[in-house]
Amino acid sequence: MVTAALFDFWGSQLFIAMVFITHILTAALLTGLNFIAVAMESTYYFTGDKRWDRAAHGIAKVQVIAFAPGSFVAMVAIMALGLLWPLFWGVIMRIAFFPMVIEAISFILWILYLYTWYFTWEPLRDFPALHISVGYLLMFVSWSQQFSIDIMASYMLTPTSPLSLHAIMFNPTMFPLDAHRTIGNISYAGFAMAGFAGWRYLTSRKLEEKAYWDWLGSLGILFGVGFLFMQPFVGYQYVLSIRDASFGAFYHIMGGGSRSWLFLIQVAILGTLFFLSGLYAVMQMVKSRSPNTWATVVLLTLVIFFAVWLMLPPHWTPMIGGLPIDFIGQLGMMNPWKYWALAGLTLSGLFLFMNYLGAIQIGFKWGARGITSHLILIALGLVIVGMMFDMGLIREEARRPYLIYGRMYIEPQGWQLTPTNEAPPPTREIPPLSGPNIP
Amino acid sequence: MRVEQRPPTTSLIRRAGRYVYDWLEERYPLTAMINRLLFDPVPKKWGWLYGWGGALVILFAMQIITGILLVASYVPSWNEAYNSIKFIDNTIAGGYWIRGLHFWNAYMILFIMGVHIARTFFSGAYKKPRELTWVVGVFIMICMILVAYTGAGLRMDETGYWTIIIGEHIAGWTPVIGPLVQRAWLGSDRIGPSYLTRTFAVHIWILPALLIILISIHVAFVIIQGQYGSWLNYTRGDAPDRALDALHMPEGDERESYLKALQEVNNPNSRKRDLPDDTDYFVPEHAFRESMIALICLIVEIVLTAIAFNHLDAPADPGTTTFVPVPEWFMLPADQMLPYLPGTMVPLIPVAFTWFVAMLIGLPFFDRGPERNMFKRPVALSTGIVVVLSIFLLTMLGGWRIMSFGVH
Repeated sequence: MVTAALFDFWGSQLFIAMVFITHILTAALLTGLNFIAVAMESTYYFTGDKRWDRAAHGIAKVQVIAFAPGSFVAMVAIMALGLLWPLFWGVIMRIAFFPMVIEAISFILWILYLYTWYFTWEPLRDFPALHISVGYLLMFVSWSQQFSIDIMASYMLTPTSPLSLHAIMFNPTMFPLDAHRTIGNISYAGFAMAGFAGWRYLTSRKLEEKAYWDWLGSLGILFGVGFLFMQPFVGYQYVLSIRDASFGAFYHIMGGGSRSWLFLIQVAILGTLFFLSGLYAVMQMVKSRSPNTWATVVLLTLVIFFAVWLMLPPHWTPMIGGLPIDFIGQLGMMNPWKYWALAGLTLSGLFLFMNYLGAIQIGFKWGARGITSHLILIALGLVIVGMMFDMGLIREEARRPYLIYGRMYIEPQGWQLTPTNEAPPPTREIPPLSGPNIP
Repeated sequence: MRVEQRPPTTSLIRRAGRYVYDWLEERYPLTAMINRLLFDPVPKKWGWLYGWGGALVILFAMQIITGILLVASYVPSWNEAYNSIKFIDNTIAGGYWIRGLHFWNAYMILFIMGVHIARTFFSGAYKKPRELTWVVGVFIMICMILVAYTGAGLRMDETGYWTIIIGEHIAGWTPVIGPLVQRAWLGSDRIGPSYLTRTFAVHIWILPALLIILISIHVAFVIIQGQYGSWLNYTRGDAPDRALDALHMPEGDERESYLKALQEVNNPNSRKRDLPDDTDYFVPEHAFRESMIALICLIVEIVLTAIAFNHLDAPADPGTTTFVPVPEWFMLPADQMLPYLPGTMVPLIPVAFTWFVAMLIGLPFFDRGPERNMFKRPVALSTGIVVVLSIFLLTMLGGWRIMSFGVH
């Protein structure tokens, strides 16, 4: 039976989750786009190719449009924490006070640099180095904002002594999380850009416009996949750090605990990203009649093979023709088989895209007919959102039922803290009434 | 009467100097040699990017000088090596600074070398006709890493000792020649006093001698073929256009430099193939840039020596069961791969690194396209970015792992 108390408990979590998902999806996109835009503007400076300038300017425009709503959602998120989990918010703000000061300063500088960067695009045309420098400053402050939030986020999973600022800032998972998110944000922004370009390609009428969006979509995929190659390795170090610092959390999400299936979804999404990107590359090469397309097809087959291998659940015994195929379940074991699968997936994907880049180097027909490859781009834009969602869910689930791992439970609500004659119906999900346990 | 005719500024010393110079010039092409060595045309645009190599030569010379000073007091003996290091640090006047500069300068050389290699790669400077310059550079890199590695072992402290032990084990796993290399290095089938003297000999004689030879060849190639730039330095097109442009240059050093360089390129005996659009003389303009880079490095080293204690652990204890060796920072990318791999795949790491070095050596021979603009070489650009980022990330993650959890 749904009671007000139960609704209060789950409703607060659901509301905060929704607000934070919206905020993180926006903030991560903007942070990743900053890196890409600055690289594009620098390339324009060196090459004089107008497409780079147009793309960088377009991203700046997206930033200007998305920054204010994104900030509004962030404010709502802070208000929600203050209203629904005031005790937690008070505690974590005291613990991470100085990182939050960096965060606030970065936020103000972000506003300053973003609007300066966008609105001086033409006025500073004769001073390109100065304008690019503003772009680099914007990139740095957006990253420093992420860095300060990562201190808090990593501390919540692998807490150290709250009395030492050094221990808080350099907690065991701070750097791996920060590296993982920095690279992940660029990859996410690349795929999102590709998805947007795919949509614009399909809605464009002029050939020149189609050629531009085709080129931009391809570039987005290269950013997305290029940085995705590093993610498994950086992410693995992150997981190792969680294992060493908070073993229970590691077991919960990866060692066979109740949320380990989330990682199977994760590798399924990873495999899908590699597969769809590879398929896109093959289709583009076919359209442009590039040499060595056959080699790319072979590599795509290998990508599929390794992606399926990576998704195999351990201890699985399928029946084929009435015969139990035990060894397939063995291949689902992490050590050593899935290491091989991951290495195979990464290497075959890497060689596939080297081939694709080689085809671009020889010469490509941008804007050639065909809609399927651009539909794939849109699909990739959606799949990467799923990836971000699942990654965030894994990290949150790793802490459950804590907000600060091992230190503070998900916050009791008002009805739990107020003595009453009508006790709420006990459920397994509701944490104990003992309240926060802060050392 | 003759005395009155003599120009007032011509002193006896100057006349003697002129006489010697003329005597030599009559027999050897002295002016041509000096022009080639000191007044070579070098790229002016983005000239600071081309100063890393020269700075490395200066830093290497510093390393030789501080090394010679250290040899004067270091005792390559199993029992005395550690104490002699302590003696250098604590007793000899300036000993702490000499060892500190030697220590930090070695790290600085490795770092600057990485930057130099990355610049050469991204600017396409390894392409024809400079393939061998690149190949010699790769061998210099290998020798530099080895010299840094063997230097660590001479301290005979815990870290240095166990670094060498791990190194000789890895060397022993090399297919076919591994055991031979291991035995030649250790002087025995297991580690003993002779390992230190042999490592010492390798560190102060064999590798520096090889490095001096290789660096001389590398620099000679650069002088013969000219300082090279990327497409950034060759934007004006073919030579007649540039000559025309040169005519519109205002009078001054820049115009003279350019015309001299053009004359050099057009000389049928010249080995130079192309000329950057804007040029400087090697001396003083480019030499100033290189010296400034080296000076900044030196200042950083002085600061590091002042604020960070020269690395020295407790004396090496072959029987220890508690000490956990930590790799040198430049080995962290390899070390960080260990946690990623199950035991069965670990032997792939040296294979991967051997493959990486082989790819570096072969790079100019399989990337033979004439295009040098890195934005028109997406395969090379992407590969370079992935490699540089991977090395950076692995180093940072490895350092973080060791600082947070220790080695395991």
